[in-house]
Amino acid sequence: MPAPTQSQLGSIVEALCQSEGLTGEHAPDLAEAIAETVAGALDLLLKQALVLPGIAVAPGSTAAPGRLQ
Amino acid sequence: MPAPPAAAIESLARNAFQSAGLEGEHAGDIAVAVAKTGAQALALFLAQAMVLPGIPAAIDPMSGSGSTAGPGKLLPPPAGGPIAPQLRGLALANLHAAGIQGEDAAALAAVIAGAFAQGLALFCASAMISPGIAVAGFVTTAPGRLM
Repeated sequence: MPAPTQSQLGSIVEALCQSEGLTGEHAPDLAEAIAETVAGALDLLLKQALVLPGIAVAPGSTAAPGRLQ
Repeated sequence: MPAPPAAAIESLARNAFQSAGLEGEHAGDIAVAVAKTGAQALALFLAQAMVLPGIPAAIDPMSGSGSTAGPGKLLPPPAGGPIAPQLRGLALANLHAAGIQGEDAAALAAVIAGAFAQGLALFCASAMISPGIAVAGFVTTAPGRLM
């Protein structure tokens, strides 16, 4: 499952701009640029983050929470 | 591995602002502020993030060795990551530091904060922990990856 995409985030950021009153002629471009940046950052996170070892395991499944780094 | 650094996100932001046709005198400053807020949001996320227990595991019941056998999930915000109000002050400070002081700065900060907060919430809902993490002695012994 990939990180959220620019197209998923675009409508969310546009709605945020509208609700905050940012409705100038460049608002859609700004929303698009912010959405693309967030999507790119989350894609980097997906590729770089690691689940730390040390999670307790019982027969059948993990038995404790784990952390990311 | 630490969170993606601001420099990497800044490169993404500059490209995104340019390809969206934003070339005004403050476009680069706003891109920098978005990138810095993003790096801080991801660092906060990594500090808070939690892998939920219950990942299927196939292990030998005597030795406790084997591996995880199914995907894992992340705890969603607010417990598992920052929410917009936590990021809003950071975004506003980054905008001010980049020289953005106009009347719309607070609104822009709210948009940037909300974008990263909602992006992280979606991330928690969609990203999974890949199966195949080695287990020995009833404890995972290798790092896991996200997918």
